[in-house]
Amino acid sequence: MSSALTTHPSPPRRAAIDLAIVRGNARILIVEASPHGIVVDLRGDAYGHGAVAIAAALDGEAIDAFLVSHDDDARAVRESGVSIPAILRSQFNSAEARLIGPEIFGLDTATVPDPRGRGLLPAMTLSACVLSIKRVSADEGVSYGYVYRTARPTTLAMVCLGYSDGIDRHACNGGRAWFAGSTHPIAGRVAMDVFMLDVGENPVSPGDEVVLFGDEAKGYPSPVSWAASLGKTAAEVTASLGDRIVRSYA
Amino acid sequence: MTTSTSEILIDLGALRHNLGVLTTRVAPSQVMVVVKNDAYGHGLVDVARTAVDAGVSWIGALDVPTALALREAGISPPTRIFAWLLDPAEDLGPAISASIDLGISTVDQLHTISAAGRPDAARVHLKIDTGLHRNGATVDDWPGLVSHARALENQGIVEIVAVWTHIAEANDHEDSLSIARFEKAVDVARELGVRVPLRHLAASAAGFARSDARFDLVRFGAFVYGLPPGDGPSAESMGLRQVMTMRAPVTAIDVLPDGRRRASIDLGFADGISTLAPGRIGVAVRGRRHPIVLPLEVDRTWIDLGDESDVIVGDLVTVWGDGSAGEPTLQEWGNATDTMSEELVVRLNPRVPRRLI
Repeated sequence: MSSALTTHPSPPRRAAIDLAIVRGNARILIVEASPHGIVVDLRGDAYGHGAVAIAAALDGEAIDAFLVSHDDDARAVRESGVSIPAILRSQFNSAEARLIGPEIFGLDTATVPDPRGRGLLPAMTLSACVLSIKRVSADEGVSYGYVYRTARPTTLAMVCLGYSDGIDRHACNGGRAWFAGSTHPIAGRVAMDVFMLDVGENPVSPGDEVVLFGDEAKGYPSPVSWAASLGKTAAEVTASLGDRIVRSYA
Repeated sequence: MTTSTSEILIDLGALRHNLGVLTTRVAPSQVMVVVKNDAYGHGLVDVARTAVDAGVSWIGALDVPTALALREAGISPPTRIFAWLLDPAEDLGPAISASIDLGISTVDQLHTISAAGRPDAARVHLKIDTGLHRNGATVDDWPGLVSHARALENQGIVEIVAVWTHIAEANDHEDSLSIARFEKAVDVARELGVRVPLRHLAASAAGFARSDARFDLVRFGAFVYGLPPGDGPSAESMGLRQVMTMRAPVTAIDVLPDGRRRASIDLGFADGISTLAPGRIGVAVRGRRHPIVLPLEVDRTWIDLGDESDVIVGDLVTVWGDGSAGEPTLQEWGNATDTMSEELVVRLNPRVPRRLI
C-alpha cells in the first residue's frame, strides 16, 4: 500500500522534512555539548524522520555515533554509505558521550521542554489533503458519538489523516490544524482514516492542503503545541506517525 | 518455548471462528470483511485470503491502492472489493478495469469516473449522509447525485450496485433516525430509476446488535478480529475470539535502589505502545500480571516485578492476547488507555514481525 502511494505525484498524506534545519539544530547542540563525545539519538526510525536519511544528512558533522533501535537500522545506516557508526543501546556508554535527543528535530522531550527557546526549529511539516467538503447547519453532531456539535452554520472539510496514521482519536479535545492562513478546530472524534476540520466560512476545495504542525513562524501549530494538546511530547507524536504518511526531504 | 524477538501472533483459527459467528448472526444479510490498515494490523493478504476461503464474497479495502494490491495478490472476481476513500487527484481507471466497487458521494467523483474513459462500467455504491457528516451526499444533493449516476448508467459508464451510508453509533435513538433517513434515500433512488440496489449501512456494533440495521450487507471490521467496543461485553461473551496476541521476551532485569525489580521488553512508543499505558495496565509473565511503569521509552517498556525473583531474561511477556496466559485483552487495553482496541492495533509499527498460527 505504501509503495503505491510513494509513486503518487502528490501523496495525500505527507511529512516534509527539512534537512538543513536538522543540520542547523545539530550544530547548535554540538557546540553546547563539546568537548564531550557526541552520540545522536536516531531511535524509533529517528523519531519518525527516517534514520537513514537523517544519518546521511548529518554525516559531515562532528558526531561520534548514531544510536538506533534495532540491528536492521544499524545495517541500513551502514549500507547507505554513512561513515559515522550506528550503535545499539547496549553499545552506548553515557559516561563517555553526551546523547543528543529528539530536540535535534525541534521536538520537546522531558529534558528539553522548549526547543524553540534554544533556537531549535521543527524539521517536520505534517500535512494532508482535503478529500471532500460539506456545508452543515448549526447544532449538527459530527463524527462518531457526536461529541462535537457545530456552533453555527459552517463548512466541514474531511482530511485524510486518522488514528491509524498516528493522529490520536482524542485530538478533537483542543486540537487545531492550519488551513488557509489560520488554525481551525478538529470537529469530532478522529476516525481511523480521516478527521473533520471545521473551517467556518473559508472557501475550501477537495485537494486543498491542511497542515497539522510545522514551523510556527509560518503560522502552523508547532509540534510542541500540537503534542501538548494531546498530553504528549512532540517526540512521542512524530515517532508514532504511520508509514502511510510519505516522508519527503528537502 | 522462547523467542529472540518481539512478535505478533495471528490466530487464523480464531479469525475463521469469528467469520462463522458473524455470518450466521446476520444471515441472510451478507458479510463484508473490512481489511483496511493492513487488516487492522493483522496482515492484509492473509486475512483477505482466509475470508475468501471461508466463503466471504465482499472485502472492504478502504482505498484504491489497497484494493489494487488485493487484486494483485490474487483476490479475483467474483469476490467484490470495495474502496470508498477516494483521493481527489486519483485516476480511477485502474480501479474500474480491476472491477473494484467504488463508494461515491459526489457528482465530481462521477465526473472522474467518466474522465477515466474505460470500456467497462464502473461499479458504484452511492453514499447518502444520514447524520455522521463526513462524506455522503446531503439530502438536498442526493437526487442530483442519483440522477447523474442514472444518466451515466444509461450510457454504460457506471453500474449502480448499491446505496449505502455510515452511522454515528452515538445512541440507539440517533441510529434509528439514521436508519429512517437511509430508507428514505433508498426510496428516492428507486423513484429515480435505480433498480434493486444492494443496501448497506451497518458496521460491527450496529450490525451485530440490530437486525433493522443489517439490510443486505454488513461491513464487519473490528468484530472480525475479535475486538468489541470498550466498556461493553467482552469478545468471549459475544462468542468471538481475539485474533491477535503480542508478546516479547524480557531483555533486561534491573534492581532498583528500593529493592524492587523491573524487567524490560524491546517495544516502546515508536512500536505502538500507548503513552498512557504506564500505571494503567499490566502484562503477563509466567501467568501473572505485572504493571507497566514509567518511563515509557521510544523502543523499550519497563514492567514492575515487585520483589518477584523468578522472572529471568528471555521469559516471554504477553502484552495482550485472549487472556489465556493471564494477559489483558485488547478491550482491557483500550479501556485502560482511554481509547478503543482498534486504535491500539492499527498503530502498531509494521516493523514488529507477524507470525500466523
